[in-house]
Amino acid sequence: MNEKPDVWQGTLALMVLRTLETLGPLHGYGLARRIEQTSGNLLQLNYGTLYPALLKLEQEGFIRSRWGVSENNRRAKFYELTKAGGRQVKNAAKEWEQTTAILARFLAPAEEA
Amino acid sequence: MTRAQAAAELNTLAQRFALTNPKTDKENRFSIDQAGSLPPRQRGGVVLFLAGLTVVVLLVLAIAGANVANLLFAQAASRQRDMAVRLALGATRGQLRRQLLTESVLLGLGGGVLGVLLSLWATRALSALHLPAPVPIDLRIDVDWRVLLFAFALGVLSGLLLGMVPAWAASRPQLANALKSKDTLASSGRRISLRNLLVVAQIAMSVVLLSITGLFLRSLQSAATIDIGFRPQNLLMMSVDPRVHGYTPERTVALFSQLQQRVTSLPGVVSAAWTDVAPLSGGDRSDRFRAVGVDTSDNNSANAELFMVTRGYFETMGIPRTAGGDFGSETATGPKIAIVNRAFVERIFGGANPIGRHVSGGGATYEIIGVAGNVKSRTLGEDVRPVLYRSIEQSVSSDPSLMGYALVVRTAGPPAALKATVRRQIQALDPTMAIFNDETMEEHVRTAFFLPRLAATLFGTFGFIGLVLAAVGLYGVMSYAVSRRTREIGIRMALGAQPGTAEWLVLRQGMILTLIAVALGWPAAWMLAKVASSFLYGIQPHDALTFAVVPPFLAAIALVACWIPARRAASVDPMQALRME
Amino acid sequence: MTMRKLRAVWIRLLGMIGAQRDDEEFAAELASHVAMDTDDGVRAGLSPAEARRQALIHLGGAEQTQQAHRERRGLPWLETLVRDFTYGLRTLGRHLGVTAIAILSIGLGIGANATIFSMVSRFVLRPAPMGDPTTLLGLHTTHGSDPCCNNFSFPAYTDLRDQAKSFSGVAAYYELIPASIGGGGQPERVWGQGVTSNFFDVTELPMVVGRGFITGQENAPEVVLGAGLWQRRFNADKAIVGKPVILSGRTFTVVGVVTPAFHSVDQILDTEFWVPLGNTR
Repeated sequence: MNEKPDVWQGTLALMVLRTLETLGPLHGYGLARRIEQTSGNLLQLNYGTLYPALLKLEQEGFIRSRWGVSENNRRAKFYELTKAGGRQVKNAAKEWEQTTAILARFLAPAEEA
Repeated sequence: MTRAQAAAELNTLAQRFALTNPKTDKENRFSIDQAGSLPPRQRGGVVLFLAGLTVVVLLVLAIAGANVANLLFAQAASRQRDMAVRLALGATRGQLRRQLLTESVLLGLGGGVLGVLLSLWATRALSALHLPAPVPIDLRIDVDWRVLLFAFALGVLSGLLLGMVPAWAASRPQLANALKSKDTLASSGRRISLRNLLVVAQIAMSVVLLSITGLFLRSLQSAATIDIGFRPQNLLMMSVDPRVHGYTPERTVALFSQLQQRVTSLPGVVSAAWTDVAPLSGGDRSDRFRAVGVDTSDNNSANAELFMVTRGYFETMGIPRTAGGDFGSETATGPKIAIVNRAFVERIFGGANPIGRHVSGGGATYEIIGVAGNVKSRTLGEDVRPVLYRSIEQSVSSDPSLMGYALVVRTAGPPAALKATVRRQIQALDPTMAIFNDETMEEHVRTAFFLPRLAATLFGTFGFIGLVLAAVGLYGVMSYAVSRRTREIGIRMALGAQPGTAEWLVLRQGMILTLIAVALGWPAAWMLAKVASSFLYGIQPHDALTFAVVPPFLAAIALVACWIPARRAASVDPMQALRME
Repeated sequence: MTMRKLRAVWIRLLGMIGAQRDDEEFAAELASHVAMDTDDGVRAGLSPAEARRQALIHLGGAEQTQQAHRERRGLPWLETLVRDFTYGLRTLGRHLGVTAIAILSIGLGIGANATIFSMVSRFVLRPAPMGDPTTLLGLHTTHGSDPCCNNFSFPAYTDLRDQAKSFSGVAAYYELIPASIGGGGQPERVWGQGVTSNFFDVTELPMVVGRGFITGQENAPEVVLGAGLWQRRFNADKAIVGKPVILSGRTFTVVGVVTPAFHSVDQILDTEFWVPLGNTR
């Protein structure tokens, strides 16, 4: 993961935004677990790296946070999508699809040949 | 169109004009300069004065720079242990350098701010000075933000530059040595260190600075003893110019005599009289005079200053009348009479009694009716000039004064107290009359000290600053030397040396540095003094007193600066010094 | 997107101010994270101690996470700079004597130089505030071998003005004219200059209000005021153009006020009004 931090940063942010979009407000731990599960446990997420990414998204105004109480009655900080965040998910998802599509074209012939 | 082309055309034109109007334009040419530059006649002097000052302030800056470099060096050396510890704890040399340079920049920032504030204050103080001139002169130095910004940047930059070398050196301590509290910067074993060089340069420069300062202080002192030829105490003056109020010469004369009577009869007034312009105003009315009826050779002609006065002027001013009489109530159309000063008698009549003789000049002939003492007529520094006093009554119409006329009043008590009363007398006769230049004669004479005072103030300030900085620099270096040699001194004392020996060790080093510096600075000052000569009053540029006093004075200051660290050396406890390992 | 980045930088700048509080808040967030992870571990059958150990491993170290978060919160290089500065200030404060002497030294050196350079700039370098200083020259006449310089006689001026082709215009001024000025306030003697009618065109002097003289009208009873006189005696009246001013008993009409920086061409004489030269003969 450390060898490709740029890709990781971008994709992690998109995963966070997308997860928040589908599931609504979540705390950091919940987010981390959810991302792990969604990836089919293919992604061994170092939970600590999530927080700087969350902070960055919050600074950019795509998510906001407030303190609340978790399902197990623990005080936790909940993150939710802002309007700008919602738009950002759409844009970033579209970009990501384009990128993967382009990459797929590059990779496909090699497999066929 | 270039300036050279313009100059060429002007030359051609000058030649053409000389041919067409030989009477007036023969030998006339044109000179070109930049519009807005100083009047050409004054330019040379001003530029020389400013160039001198520039040299002096650069010296001050150099001394200050040497001071700071020295301090930073000493500090860097004393912080080697600290640096070594931080290096051992894993800090990089780059980090240490950045840290040290940050400190230098901070010093530069502080110095820059202080310098800009000082210069704001100084230019304001300088702008308040008045030039002794009867015409309006604008010497205000307005705040130029570009200059200040430049100065501020210079401050920061000098901080950075001065910090560069010590920062580099301090960030490379020899770890092992430094941790054992050995000064690796100093232990190179060289007798002549960079620090000593800096101090020698500093003191040498302050020898130059102090010598120049001394010259200007002596000049001011000698200016103060100049005999101006009249008594300025208890004198009040104020000026009017009836001509610009539409007065005819007859009305002007009537106004003057009426005012003279009224003011003289005021309580507290001893006497009052009129003149066109008070002495020491820098005025420039003069004409060539010759005695009438003697041979026509040039031997007995001379340029004489022209003044107009009324009866009672000499008594009011306190100028002695040595022969003949005073003006009375002359008629404007009667034969012209004049009173001359002693210098005039010397120059035109070779000292013979001039009473009743005639002189001519400026298109008129005057009969001399009296002789008065010499006064400084234009400026404080001038050689005594011949003066011819005319009667105001006889000159107002034929040769009116452009500068107006001054009423001088001798008072029994403090003259300033009568200012309002005298003003009221003028306004009572003509409420629309503009009154100007109202001041006491002592204030007026103080203005005449403008140049020697300006020079003494500026050079004195800079000389003092330079001296203090150099003394502090020397003190710093000697203190540092003592702290560096504490161990050595401790060993010597443990081996039986007397405290006096340690003291002498330090003093000797300081004195050697000072002597070298004086030997370098003194001849430089001797050479520079010649440049200053045109601004000095009544003393020679190689004034013996100045050049004799400055070196021992400086040596005494240096001695004090070394004495304090020397005392510290003497009080070194041998046991403690040895335990420092 | 760039706006978003700017917004992030701004918040990070703010973040440096409340660093202490933010640290505490994030510590609380981390604590709750670890607690929830530990809860899950215990539920999965681990001992509380082991569950907590695992939770910290999942996190990748509490301290490292704190540090990464802190770095994202502020701007690291700026923080380093501020740290260097505060550390520098503290060091300088510890050596107060040395610091004071160094600052005083630099300050005195800079102050002295700035003062004298201000004088040099004022008296030698500064061009007068007239049009384009590079194309404006001053002329004098010299006689015989005398290196310097006399004023022009009027005929010499007109000859030069009419015959010289090197110049787009030649103007002249008479140095000093005293005059009385009355009206409101104390009567006062003021100094002015007599100028040829093309003076303001040739010098291209900027005017605060109004204009200069009309070329050719050498006897017009008009006056241009200096800004100082205008402020002192006329309250900086913007509508002064066209009003009468009495100088030495004669009435002049104000046509303009010249820029405050201008006192005279040579920048030494302090004159305050200008009238067409014809009025002075």
